[in-house]
Amino acid sequence: MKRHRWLILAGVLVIVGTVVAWRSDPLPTDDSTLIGTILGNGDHADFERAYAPKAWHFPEDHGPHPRYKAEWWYLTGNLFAVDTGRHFGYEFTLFRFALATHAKERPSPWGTTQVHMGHLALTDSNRGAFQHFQRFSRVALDLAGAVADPFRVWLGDWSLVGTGGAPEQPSMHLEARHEGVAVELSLVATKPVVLQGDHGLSRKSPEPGNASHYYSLPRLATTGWVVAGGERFQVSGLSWFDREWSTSSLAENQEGWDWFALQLGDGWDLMVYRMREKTAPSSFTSGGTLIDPEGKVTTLADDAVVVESSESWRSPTTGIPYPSQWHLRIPARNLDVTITPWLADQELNRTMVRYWEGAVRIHGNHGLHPVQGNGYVELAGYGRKK
Amino acid sequence: MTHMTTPLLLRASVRYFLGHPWMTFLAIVGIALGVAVVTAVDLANQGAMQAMRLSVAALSGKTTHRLIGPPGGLDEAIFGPLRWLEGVEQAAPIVDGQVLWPTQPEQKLHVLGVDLLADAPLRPHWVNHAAGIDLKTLITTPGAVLLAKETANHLGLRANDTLTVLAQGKSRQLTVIGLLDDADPLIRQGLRDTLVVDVATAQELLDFYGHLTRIDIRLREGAALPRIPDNYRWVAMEHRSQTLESLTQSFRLNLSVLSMMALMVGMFIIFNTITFSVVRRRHLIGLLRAQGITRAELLRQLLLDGCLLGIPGTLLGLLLGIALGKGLLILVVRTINDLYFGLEVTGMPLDPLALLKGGLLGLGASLVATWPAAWEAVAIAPSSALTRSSLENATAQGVIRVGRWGVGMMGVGMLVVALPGNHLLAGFIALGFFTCGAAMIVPLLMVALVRMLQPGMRRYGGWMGTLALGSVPRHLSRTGIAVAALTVAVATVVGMGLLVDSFRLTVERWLEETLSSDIYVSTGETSTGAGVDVGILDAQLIATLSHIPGVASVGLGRRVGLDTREGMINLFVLDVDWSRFADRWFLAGNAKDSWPQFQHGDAILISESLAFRRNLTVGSKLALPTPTGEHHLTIGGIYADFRADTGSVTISRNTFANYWRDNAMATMGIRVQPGADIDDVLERLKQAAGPQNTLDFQSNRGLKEASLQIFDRTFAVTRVLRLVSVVVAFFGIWTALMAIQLERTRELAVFRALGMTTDELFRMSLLETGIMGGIAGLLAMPMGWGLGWVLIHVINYRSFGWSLHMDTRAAIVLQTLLIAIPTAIAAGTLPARKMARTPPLEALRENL
Repeated sequence: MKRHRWLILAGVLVIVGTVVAWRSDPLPTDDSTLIGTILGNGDHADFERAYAPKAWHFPEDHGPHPRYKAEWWYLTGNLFAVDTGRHFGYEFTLFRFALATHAKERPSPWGTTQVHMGHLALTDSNRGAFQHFQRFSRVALDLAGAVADPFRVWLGDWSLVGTGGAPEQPSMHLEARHEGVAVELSLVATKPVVLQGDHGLSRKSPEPGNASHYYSLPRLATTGWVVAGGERFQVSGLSWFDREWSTSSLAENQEGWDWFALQLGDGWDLMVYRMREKTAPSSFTSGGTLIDPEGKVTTLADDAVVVESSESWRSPTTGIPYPSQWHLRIPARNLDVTITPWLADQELNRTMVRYWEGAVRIHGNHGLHPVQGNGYVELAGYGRKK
Repeated sequence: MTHMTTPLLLRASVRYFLGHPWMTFLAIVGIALGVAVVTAVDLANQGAMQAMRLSVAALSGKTTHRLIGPPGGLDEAIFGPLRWLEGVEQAAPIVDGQVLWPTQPEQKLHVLGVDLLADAPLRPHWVNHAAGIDLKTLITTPGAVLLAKETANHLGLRANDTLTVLAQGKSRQLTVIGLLDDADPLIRQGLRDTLVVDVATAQELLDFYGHLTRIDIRLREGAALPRIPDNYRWVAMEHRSQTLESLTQSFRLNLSVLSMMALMVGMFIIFNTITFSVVRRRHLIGLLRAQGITRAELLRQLLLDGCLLGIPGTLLGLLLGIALGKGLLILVVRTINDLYFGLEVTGMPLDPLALLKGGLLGLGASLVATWPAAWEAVAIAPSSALTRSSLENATAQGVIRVGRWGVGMMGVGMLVVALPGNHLLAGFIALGFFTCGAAMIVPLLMVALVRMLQPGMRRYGGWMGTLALGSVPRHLSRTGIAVAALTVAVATVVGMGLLVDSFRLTVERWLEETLSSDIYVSTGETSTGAGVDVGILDAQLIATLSHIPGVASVGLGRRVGLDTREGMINLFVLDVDWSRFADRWFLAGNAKDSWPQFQHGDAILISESLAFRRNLTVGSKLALPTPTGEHHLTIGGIYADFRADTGSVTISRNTFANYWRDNAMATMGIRVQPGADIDDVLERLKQAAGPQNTLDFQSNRGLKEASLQIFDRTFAVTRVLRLVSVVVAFFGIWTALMAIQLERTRELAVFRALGMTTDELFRMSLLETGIMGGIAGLLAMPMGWGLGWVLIHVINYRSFGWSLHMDTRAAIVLQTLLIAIPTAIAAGTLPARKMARTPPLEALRENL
């Protein structure tokens, strides 16, 4: 009899199991690559490409360049609470994507060929918190847009607005808030525009056209407010502003890039990038720019910089391993620093792009003196299928 | 002992069932049919529910709230500030409307203008089914269109084709940029006859500049709804889905209960078979009991017998149920389509719970039906089990006892009906008590009826009639059950028939009286449940049409979906003269008294269902949400309205203008001058409206016909269930007659031995079954009438709030005889022939 009970129990379990398995939700689940599907890559044939250095005009070039497929206004910075010195890192980026080159005038104001994507990220090192948000909008009505003069780029109530200064050394005001995180910052450039690469043409691979037009404001004195974890902090610090537009920057054999924007305590700023190759992951095309305290620019050749990553961190959300500490040397300049993230997890796992963009601190030697500083590192293209 | 006897008993059962294959077969079929009907209705209901949920999901996706506005739409400028408000996770602007497909002027296409970037997070299924389509072009190319594959096939379009549509009277060129894979019912349902375009294209196509028709948002849990202008309104989507489900709940419950009736008849068959098998084995049982088999062992074995029939019957029933369910689903969905809202089903999910429920019901019913016979067999002393007469004696006494119980149950049923309150469940309980009680009285009434008929039969019926009539009460243990089963089945059929016929008659009269205009003109805007009726009649057009030669008078109307706290109701706005107003079918209050107040806006009229649902009477106040806030308006009258059981409110145009700040009208009822030809006037109206209009013209006759057609479609489900009841009853009576004939083998053999011919025996057997059918038919008359009364005045009223005039035409009730007698005779033919052909000697020798 006992044996029968077991059989019955087993039978009931089988039935219940089948019922549970059968009644699973038929509705499709959210697919985070939806908007990627919509925007797609498409063909780039009609878009302009960066073949040669351009003639630069400011303030016009602060504004949009819709004949190129992609463009960004990229702010990163390290801020410290005025009273306690508590560290915050922030990233605010507005991406512009062109869906088509032809911009026909249409009777409906909703008609558009341009889309903005916005990223806002805040690193609260004390709390160990990293929060990031993403927005999309068509560039239409006043939903989103970009204007060179008077300078203004926006997506909904996220906006970066010019507040004066010389065209090549402007001041701006940033406002962005989302779900309990907010930044309200006023930014004053203390060094003028730096044209990256060859007079602003940043070649990403030997193939012509695989390049971008690229300039930076490497040092902006930043003051204002940060809201995080339900508290409001008065902060001050330094920001870095990058502007880049292109149609195609990666070559077939390239996997991604590492980008370093470092602001040293002795007034020097440094931008270094490494384009990683798919075929040989340890093979790079690299370059960079060194800016002295007065704003004088030195372009760094491919072999002038040595970067070695010494540790790695695996993202718990995506499982992707990222390098997480670097040793950077410019032997000719006697620069030798160690770069450490303020927080290991500063990964933006987002719809269109997945990247690690994090606040870092720097210590080491520059010339004969020890030096410290802060900066931002961007790691793009990790975890892609080879 | 135990080890020896249990297999012995089991073998006896198996041998018995195999030895009587027809009986076994019928019992299995009986339970199978019962299980099949219950399972089918359950599966069909589940399928309809899933389709309903899917369709809501398809249209709303992950939307939690929908912002709608006045007929002119929302100001597009509201979208920007709303989009990134704290608490608003997603927001999507939508511009939709209709265009004409010129190659088929009647074909209207729904234009759905979306912003894919904003829409994709809310309705991901659209993008997920756009493989291979460059969706960017939908945004960047003016006139770009996406279609679901089915729609494209229907219109004869392929990817990259251009199509010309008629929008706002102008011809517009559009380009199909891709076809959405619509294997998913979400796509098929959500995008049927729909052109998906960019919101900019939609504005350009529909001339809807500066406006949106709605904004769908996803609100963060716990966040407050954003503030909006006074004449805008938030509609909660969850609420919508629930409303839809509760709307159809009564309808589905009704179907389930009707399906249980079929199972009940199935139980009769099992009951009959098992009882018969016990009777046939009384001798064996008596012997076994005398040899010391315990009651528990015997009971277990007899219940096992029930399972032997029940398990294959149930399995067969489940298979049949799945097949039948697919057919029923179409009918159920059609009803929901007609009564509530548009729904399409592409497949029926095999809900394992429904199958489990059907299986358990089948087995349970088999065991329950076995129990009385098993208990009886166990209870009797071994010695009396060996004699036959004791059984019929016990039955005769039992008939009276059971009859008393039956009267008691019917009494309880009536008490339950009389209970205050209008609970539907109480109605069904009453129905159950009433039916069971009536079935239990049947044998007693049958005996009484036979006694009444016997003197007449003796005088006029000849020896054969007398013999046939007499045998009915003589085999009460068999005939009682058979006649009861047939009576219940026939009464169910007639009761349901009464309900449907009364319903139809009432609706017909209602249409006759309320559709008093000759021609109806509307914008043809189908209600998509969005709550916005974009289509309103242009005032200029109304004036033009009113002055067409032959038009005598014009009444104007408008239907607006009203989202009240208790669910969606229809708001009818009327601008009519006194004679049209008086056409309303007043159930409480009267036209004359309420007219002045109605015109001035002091009084409103409500439909009977609404009055029933909200417990309202003339003079009480009803709170209506309006753009100018909530207003409590006095009810001046209650009218009949069979359009929707959700209920409706009718107000005057003055009231509408006053509280809604809106004066537009959407339908015209036109009366034609005496002597004018309706078709001529109709033609003139169409011409005056111009070729590019999207108006819908209907003649009175056409509208009535269409309405009744919908009505008939709606009740197709009940027709199928009625038919199934008759089929089950047929098998029931067949089983019972089989049993009787088998049991009487010896008796009939004696008749044969005494010189009765095969033919005479056959005729006598048929006469017997005919008499049983006749008795069942007679008894089913009052019972069917009673059932009909309960269905009409209790079940229907409590489900839908509609009071119907009961169809009292005698013909319906007389149907009972027409159904019962042929059914009985048809079922009795095979057993009668079999018996008549048995050689007397063999029959005498057998089964002694």
